[in-house]
Amino acid sequence: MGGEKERLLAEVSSARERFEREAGSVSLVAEIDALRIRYLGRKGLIADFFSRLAQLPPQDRPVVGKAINDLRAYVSAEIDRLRATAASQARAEVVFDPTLPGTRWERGRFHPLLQVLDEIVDIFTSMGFSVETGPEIETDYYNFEALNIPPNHPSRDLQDTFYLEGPHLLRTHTSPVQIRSMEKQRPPVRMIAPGRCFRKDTPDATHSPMFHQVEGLWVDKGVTFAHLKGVILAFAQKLFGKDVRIRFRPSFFPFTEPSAEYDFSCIMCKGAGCRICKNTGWLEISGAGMVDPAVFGFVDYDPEEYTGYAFGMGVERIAMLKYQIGDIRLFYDNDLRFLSQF
Amino acid sequence: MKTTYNWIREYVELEATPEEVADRLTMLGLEVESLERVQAQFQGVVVAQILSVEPVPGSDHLWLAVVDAGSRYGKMTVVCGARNVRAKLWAALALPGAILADGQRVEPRSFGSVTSQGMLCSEAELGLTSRAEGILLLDNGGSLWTGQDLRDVVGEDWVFEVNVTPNRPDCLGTIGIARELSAAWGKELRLPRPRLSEEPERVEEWVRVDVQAPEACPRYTARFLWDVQVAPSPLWLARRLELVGMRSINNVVDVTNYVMLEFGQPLHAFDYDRLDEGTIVVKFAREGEEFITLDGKLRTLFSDTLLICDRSKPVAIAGVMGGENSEVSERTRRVLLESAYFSPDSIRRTKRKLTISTDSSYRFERGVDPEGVVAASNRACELILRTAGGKLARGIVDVYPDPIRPRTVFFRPSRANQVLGTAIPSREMEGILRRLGLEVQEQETGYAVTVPTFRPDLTREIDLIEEVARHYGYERIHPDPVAPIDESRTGEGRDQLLEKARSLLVGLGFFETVNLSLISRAQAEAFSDGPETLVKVLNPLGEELAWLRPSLLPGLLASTVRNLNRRQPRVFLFEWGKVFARSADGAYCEKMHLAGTICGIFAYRTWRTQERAADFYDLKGVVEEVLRDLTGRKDIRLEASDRPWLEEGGFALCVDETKVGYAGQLARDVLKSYDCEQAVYGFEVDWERVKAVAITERIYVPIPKFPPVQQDLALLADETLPAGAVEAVIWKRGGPYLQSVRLFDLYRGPQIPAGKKSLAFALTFQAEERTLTEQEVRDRIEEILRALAQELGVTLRPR
Ligand SMILES: [Zn+2]
Repeated sequence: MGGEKERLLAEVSSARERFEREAGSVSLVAEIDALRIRYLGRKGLIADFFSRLAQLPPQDRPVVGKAINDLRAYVSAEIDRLRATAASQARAEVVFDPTLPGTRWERGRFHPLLQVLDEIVDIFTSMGFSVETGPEIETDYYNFEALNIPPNHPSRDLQDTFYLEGPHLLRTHTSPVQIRSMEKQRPPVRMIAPGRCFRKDTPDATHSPMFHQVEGLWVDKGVTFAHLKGVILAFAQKLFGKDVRIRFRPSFFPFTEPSAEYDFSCIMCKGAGCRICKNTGWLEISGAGMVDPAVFGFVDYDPEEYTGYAFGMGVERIAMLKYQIGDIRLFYDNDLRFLSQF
Repeated sequence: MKTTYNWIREYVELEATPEEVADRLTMLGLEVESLERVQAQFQGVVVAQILSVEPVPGSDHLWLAVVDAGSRYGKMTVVCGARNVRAKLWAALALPGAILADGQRVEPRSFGSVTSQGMLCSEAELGLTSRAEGILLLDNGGSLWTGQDLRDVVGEDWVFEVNVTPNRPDCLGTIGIARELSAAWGKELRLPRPRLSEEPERVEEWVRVDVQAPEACPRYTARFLWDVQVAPSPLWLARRLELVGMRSINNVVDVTNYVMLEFGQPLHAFDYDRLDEGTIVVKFAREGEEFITLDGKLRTLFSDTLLICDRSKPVAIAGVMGGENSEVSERTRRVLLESAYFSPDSIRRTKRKLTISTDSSYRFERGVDPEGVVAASNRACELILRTAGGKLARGIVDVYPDPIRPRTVFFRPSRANQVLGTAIPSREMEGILRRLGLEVQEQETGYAVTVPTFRPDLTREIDLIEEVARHYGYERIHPDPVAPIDESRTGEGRDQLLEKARSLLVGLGFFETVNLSLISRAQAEAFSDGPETLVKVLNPLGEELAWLRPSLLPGLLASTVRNLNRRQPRVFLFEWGKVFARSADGAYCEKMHLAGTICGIFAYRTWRTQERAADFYDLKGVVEEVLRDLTGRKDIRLEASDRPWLEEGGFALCVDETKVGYAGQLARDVLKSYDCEQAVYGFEVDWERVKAVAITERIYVPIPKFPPVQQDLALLADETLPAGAVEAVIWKRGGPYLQSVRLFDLYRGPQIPAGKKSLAFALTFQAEERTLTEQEVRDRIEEILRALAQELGVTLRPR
C-alpha cells in the first residue's frame, strides 16, 4: 500500500490550499463556524485524515502525522483569527437601529360623508329599521303627487327641481322610497332610505345641487308623535352622546301632519350659545312629522287603522356639525389633504 | 313676511319682550329668522315749529327760516334748501353739535352774510326712511311740543322676519301673527274697526263691475273715492313700510301696501279717470295678447291669464300686477279701489307662465280670506281718507255670486291623543281651538268645529289635531322610547358585498370619493356609448352641470387632476354610485357602478427600496384581487375590448362568461381634455353584474396533508409571445396535481439572444392523497416542455 502515504500527504497539502481560499471569502460568524466544523469537527476533514493515518504502516506515520498536525494547528489559528476579526467587524458595521422608519403601508380612507352616513344607517338598523333604496331618476308621481304635493301647489316652491323629459325628474328627497316601500307591503313598515338627492341650488358654502339624505318611516297600529320624539331622541343621543337634548318646532310639510322641525342642543356649547348655533343653543337638523292621511290614501292604507311617522335628515349637515366643516363643497372636491383627515 | 313688534302690539297686548315674542312665534311654527332692533341713529335733534321763511339775500334756492325750538333752546335761525319749508309747519331741528344718521356732526355754518345755527333735517338724514327730498314735516295732532327730543317721537322698534310656511296665508298679514300670539297667551285680539264717513252719492253711480270668469274670481269688490290728494306718505306710514322692506311711493299706494301687510289681503288702486266708462270687466286674456305692466315690461299673455279690464282695454293682470295705463300718480284725483278674492290656482298658473311673482300673487296663490275682502277695503278707505283726504262714495260694489262658506270639521279629542301619544283633556283642546278663532260645538263623540275662511289649511280632523299640538306645545309631548323590534320583520341591511368592496379598496390604498352626478356634456360624451344615450337635465344650473354621468370615471378623473394640481404624488381613488343612460326607446335607466383610478407613485422611495410609478399591472393586480374576493372565483380574465375612453380599447373584465366591467389605461386624448399629463389607469364595474355572479358562501377545502413539490422553470421565449400564452400551456399540460404557476422573473439582456426574453415560473405540484414521487413530477415537466417547444417554440433557458 505504498501509494497511500503520498496520496494522504497530497490531500493534506491541497486541503491547506482549499482552506486558505475558503477562509478568504468568509466574514460572518456563521460562515466561520461552518468552516471550522468542516475542518476541525468530529466528523471533519482533519478527523478523517487522522483516522486514515492510523491505517498507515508505522514507519510512515511520523511524517504524515506531522503534516496533519501542522494543518490542524494552522487551521485552528486561522479560525481564531477570523473569529476575532468577525466579532470586531460585526460591532463596527451592522448595528440594529430601531429608529429607522417603519415600512410605509399605503392605505386609503372612507369618505367622511359616507362614514357619517354609515353611522346613521347603523344606528337605525340597530333599532330595527330596514334599509331601502330607490331610483334617483324619479317621476313626478313618486316625488310629489303621492307625497300630497299636487301640481301647482305653493309647496313645490320649497324645492327647486331638476327636470328631465316627460314626468321624470331628479328626486329632491328620498321620500319617494317611502311610497315605493308602502306600495310593496302592508304595515308594519319600519324603514330608512339613504341616498343622493338633487335640488337646483347654486353651489355655495352651505348649498349643493347634490346632497345626501336619510329618511325614516314607521307605520303601524298605534304609532304616535311621542314615538317620533322618542326615536329622534334615541338617534341624537347615539350619534352625539347622552347629554344631547332635542327640540321639536311646528312646521309644514305636505306629506306630514302634524309636522315639525327638529333641533339638537348645540354639541359645541352644550346649549349655552356659541358661534356654531348662532347663540341659540340649538342646531337645526331637519323635518319630521306624522304621515299625512292623504299619503296613506295613495298607497291604500286605512288612516283610521294605521298611523305612522316620517323623518328626514341631511347627511352633509350632520357631517359638517360633527367634523366642524364650514364648506359643503369640500365633500365633493375629494382633496386628499381633506379625505386623509378622517 | 316682515313685521314689527310695535305693529303687532296694535292688535294684541304684549307683556313679552321682542326676544320672547320671537321665541314664542318660532315655537308656534312661525319661525322668526331674524330679529332686528331699530333705534334712532341720531342725537341732538328736537321738534321745532317754523315761524317764518324768507329768501337768503343773494340766493335763489336757499331759505332763511326762524324756528322755535322751545323754552330750553329758544329761537334759532337756520338756512335751508328744501322746497317744502313753510311757516307754521313742524319740523326736525338738528341743534349745534347734533349727530346725524350717517355720523355727520352739525355745526353753525355761514352762508355769506347769514349764519345757520342748526339744520332742518330730511327723513334720510335722520335715517328714518330713504326719502331725501324735502325736510321731514311732522304731523302735529297735538302730541308734539317744541324742544321735544325727536327720539321720543320716532321711538325704537324691532323688525321680525317670519318664515311663513305655505299653508298659512293668514299669517302673511300682521293680524294673523297677532292672532297666534293672542291664542298662545290668552289675550284679546283687537281688530281695526274703521269708522268711515261716506258721502250720500252711491258707488254704483260711478262704478260697474262685470265678472265674466267667476271660477277664477269668486269675489270682486270696488269702492270709489274722489278729491284725493296724492302726495308723499306721512312719516309713520312711510317708515313702517320701509322698516319691513317696502319702498314708500305715495300715500294711496302705500295705504294699499300697508293694508296688505296688515290683513294679508292685496289691494289695487286704479286711477279712475284712466278707466274707460268707470267699468271693470274681469275676464281671461286672448292667447298672445300683449300688456304693459306697471314695471314697464311688455307681457305676452295666455288664454288662462285672468285680466282686469275696463270697457275697452286691460288695466291689470288680476292679482299679480297692475298696468302702466291706470296706475295712481300725482295727478290722480279719483280712485277705484279693488279688493278681491282670486282663486289660488288661477294666480299660480299665471305667475308660473308669466314668471312674475309679486307680494300680491304670493298671497293670492296661497289663499286670502274671501270673507275678509270687505274689511280690508274699508280699512284702506279709512287710511286713504286720513292720509290723502278726499271723499268716499257710499257703499261697495260686491260681486260674490257664490259665497264661500266656512267649513265644519268633526274633531275627536280621543283621536288627537291617540295620534299624539298624549293625555290632553278635552276642555284644554276645546280652549285652544276657540282661541284660534274657531267655533266649537260639543257633540256626543267629539266636537263640530267651524273653521273661519281665513284658515283654508284646516280641512280635516288631522289639521285640527296639529293645531291642538302646536298650541299645547310640542315641547310638552314626552318622547316615547323606541318600540321593541318586531322580530318577524327581517330588515334588509346595507349591501354587504358593497361594504366588502369598499373595505378592500380602502385597505389596498384607495381613497373613497363622492363626485357630483351632474357633469358637462364634454365629460359625459367622452365616457358614453354615444351621445343619444346621454341624459340631459332640462333646466340645469349651467352647462357644467347639465348632464347625468354615464360613468364614474369622469368624476374620478376630475378629482385626480385636482389633486395632481395640488401636487399630490399618489392619487388612488374610488367611488360607487349611480350612472345614467337612455335606452333606444328613450327610457331612462340607472345602474350602480363601482370604479377606481390610480395615478402617480405606487411605492415611495425609502431607505431600502426604490420609488416605483403606478402602472397597468398595479391596476390589474388590484382588480383581480378585489374581484376574486368579491365573486369567489379564482379566475378573472381580461379580454381585449373596444372602450374609446381606454387606451387601445382597454380590457373587459370577465368572470366566467360574464363581462362585469372594463379596465385599462385612460386614453391619452381623454386625459388631454382634462389637462392631465400623467398616465391614469382605471377600472369600472357594473355592480349588479358583480353581485349576480358573486358566490358569497365559502366551502372548506381540506388542507393538504402531503408536502408540495416545487419546480422552477426558466424558459426562453420570443419577445412577441405573451406570457399568458406560456402560462396557459403550462396549465393545460400540468396534469391534475399542478396547484399553482407563478411568474417570478422576466429578463431581457445580454445573456440571452436578441429578440428573446427569459420567463421564470415557479410550479407547485401537490396531491391530496399521497406524496408525489420525483419521477411523476419530472414526467410532467417533460411533457410541459415538449408542448411548449412544439406549440410556442419555447425552450428551456441554457444554464
Ligand atoms: Zn352652540
